[in-house]
Amino acid sequence: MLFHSFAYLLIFLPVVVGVHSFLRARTPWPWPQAWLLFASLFFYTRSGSANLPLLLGSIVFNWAIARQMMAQSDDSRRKLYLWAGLTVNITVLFLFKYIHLFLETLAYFRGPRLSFPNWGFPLGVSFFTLTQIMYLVDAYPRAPSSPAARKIFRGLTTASSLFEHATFVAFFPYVVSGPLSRVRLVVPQLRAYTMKESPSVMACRGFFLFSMGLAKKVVLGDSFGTIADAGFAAVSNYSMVEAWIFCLAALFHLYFDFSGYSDMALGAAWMLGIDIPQNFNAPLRARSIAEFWQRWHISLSNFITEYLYNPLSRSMGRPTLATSAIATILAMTIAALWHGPAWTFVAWGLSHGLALAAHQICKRRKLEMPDWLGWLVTFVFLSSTIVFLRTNSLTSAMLMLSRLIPHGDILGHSALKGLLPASPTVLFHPVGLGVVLALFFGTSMEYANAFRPSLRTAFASAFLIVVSLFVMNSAPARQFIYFAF
Amino acid sequence: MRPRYWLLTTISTVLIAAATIAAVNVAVDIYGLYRPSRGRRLPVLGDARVAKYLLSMRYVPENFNAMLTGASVSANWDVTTIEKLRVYNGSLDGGNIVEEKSVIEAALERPGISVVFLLVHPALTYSHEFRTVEMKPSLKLSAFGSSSLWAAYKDMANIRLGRIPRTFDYAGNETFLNARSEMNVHMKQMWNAPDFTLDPPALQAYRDLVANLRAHGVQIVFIVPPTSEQLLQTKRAPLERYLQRMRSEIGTGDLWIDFLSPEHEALCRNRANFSDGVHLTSDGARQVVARINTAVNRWIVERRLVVVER
Repeated sequence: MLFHSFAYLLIFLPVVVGVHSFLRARTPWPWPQAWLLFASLFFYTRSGSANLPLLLGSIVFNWAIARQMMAQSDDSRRKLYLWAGLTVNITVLFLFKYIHLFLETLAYFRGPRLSFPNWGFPLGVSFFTLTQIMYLVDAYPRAPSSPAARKIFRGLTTASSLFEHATFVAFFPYVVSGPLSRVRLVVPQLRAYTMKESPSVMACRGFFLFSMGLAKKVVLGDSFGTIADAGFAAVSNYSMVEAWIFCLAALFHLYFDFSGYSDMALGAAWMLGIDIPQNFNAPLRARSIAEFWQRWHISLSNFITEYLYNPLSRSMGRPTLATSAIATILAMTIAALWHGPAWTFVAWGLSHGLALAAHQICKRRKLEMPDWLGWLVTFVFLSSTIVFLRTNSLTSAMLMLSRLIPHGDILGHSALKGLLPASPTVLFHPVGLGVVLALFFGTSMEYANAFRPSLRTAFASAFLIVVSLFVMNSAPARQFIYFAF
Repeated sequence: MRPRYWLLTTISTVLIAAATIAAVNVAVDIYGLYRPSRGRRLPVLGDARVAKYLLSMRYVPENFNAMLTGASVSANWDVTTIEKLRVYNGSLDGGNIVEEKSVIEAALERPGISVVFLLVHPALTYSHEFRTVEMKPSLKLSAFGSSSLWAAYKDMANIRLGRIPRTFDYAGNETFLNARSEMNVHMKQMWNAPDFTLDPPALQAYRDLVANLRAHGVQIVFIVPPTSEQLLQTKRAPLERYLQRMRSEIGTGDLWIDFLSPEHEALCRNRANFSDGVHLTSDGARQVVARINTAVNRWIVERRLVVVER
């Protein structure tokens, strides 16, 4: 079930929010939470019932491991449980996602030609596996040495119940595509309402944010997606202008698609009185690659920093510029591979890792650019490296990249005319609007935070929903890009 | 404003706006879906795929007894000049057989269509993806209100205000206002390849369509469209191979018009009949339809083609 499907918008979400509000107002805990767990499992089953055993298995296994780990008094045994849990999670991810890439690569380098059954790609496996990894690492009871560390691990000295852990992992707003949430943020909210404003104000605010996310995904994201899909379906000898248009469309598509999804996830969670992490903060206005990663897929960036970069950096001994650059490149490459089992993803991660490392060096040497130049360089870099995420081979990626630099055909547009669908007016208005919104206007989170229930916000929200329904009714729902990651 | 009233206002506004939009669109009914459309003359407006698919659901079977199915190659054939049949041109620009199958099958849902002219051309079996929208029955909901409907209204207004010329008539015929001097990217890729790709799902869709038409008792006339002699010089052998394969797939018992046969050599030789080698100019299209008309008249006299009048 997609967030922008009629079934979700008109039936599932209203019923879940309505019943949950009723249960929270009229019944004691655990009934509202039980309803959330039931709704989440139903949501996941509707998206692919065959995958439910994997999700349930992951929940039970990780909960049991964490419980065992926390019960040990000996640190070496605790570490053993932690590593066993991490190994199983990574193995599951490997078997479902990377085994074929591994075997193909092995065969390419004249290794044995082995085959492995294709089990398909369970929906959300990348996200809920990372959630479980974070859960295990967070639950590992280290001896906190600093006040900051004590604050981080506060509340994790006792294991949550299986019921709480299942609700936390399977929570429908984020189970499929994030934002990656941590147990200490979500679990306390399952028992009692902890937000500052009243549940009814948060429900309205969530509704408002959800309507913005829906419009971002359906009206803007999919319009850019149509152009990007046409350009990247079969990369050919495009002119320079065409190549840039396709790359920019791909970048804006990814941004509006995923940030729209994240807004819808957060909006739905707020409607249920639960706060989850914010995932985007105007990333396309970033003035450096480091700032971009602080604003783009924030929950993943935090994961990369805390669970990949920091351990890698620590394992290299005394921190130097070189070790932090190497750790950055390695962490980004691993994170990119998490996005998809292909060498194009590795190239994407590597390019971002190298750019981040270069930024670290420039910063250390106090080489700074004016803001406008920093933005331009970052934007050009993001737009060009997006080819690695959109092409299916390194050859196609290199062909597309070669078309981005000035060559014989600079201003040609015959391919653009031939590839785009027949109704460009419908397409181009949202595209123009999207560029302006992404680069010059406030973010949906800023608008949601400033939200007050008024006629103006009611009509604005209604307008966005009607326009989105109007667009949704034109063509079948396009899947979120991150569903494939 | 109290949060409860805010939610109530927002949800009521959405419901009232959606209901009003749907009611207006049902009243206008530009695709002829909601009331009998016999005698109406509904042109293709907005996204041609959406329009032709939705028009085929009711308007086409109520007003026509034959359909032409093809790609851009046949989109500008003015089939209204065929005397003894009322033919609707269901050809789609850049269309493939999967898309065409959807259009034809939508028309077969109601009685009315008794003859289908089915193009045999590599463009139809080159791919199987829907190009702009997936044409399935749920698309009917888009006639209540959608961006494609909005595009159709915009087209209608602009045509009435004289801002843009009309590109389609009431029988689905397309006028190529700017004669195509160059093939589009897909067509170029197809003709530049050493052989013509026969996409397996597309071939299967072709087989399924033919079987479905036969099951509905619809008479099929296969048409191999003309190609300029200049293009044929380089691609004659692959094209022959393609046609041979298609004939073996389809069977030879049906009616065929082969514009690549020696009988029509002069038409293919005349460069003036083609804008880019595969698409016909208006004059070329006129000659092709005249020849189809002659063949239809002859078959009717010979009782090889039976016209079913509604």
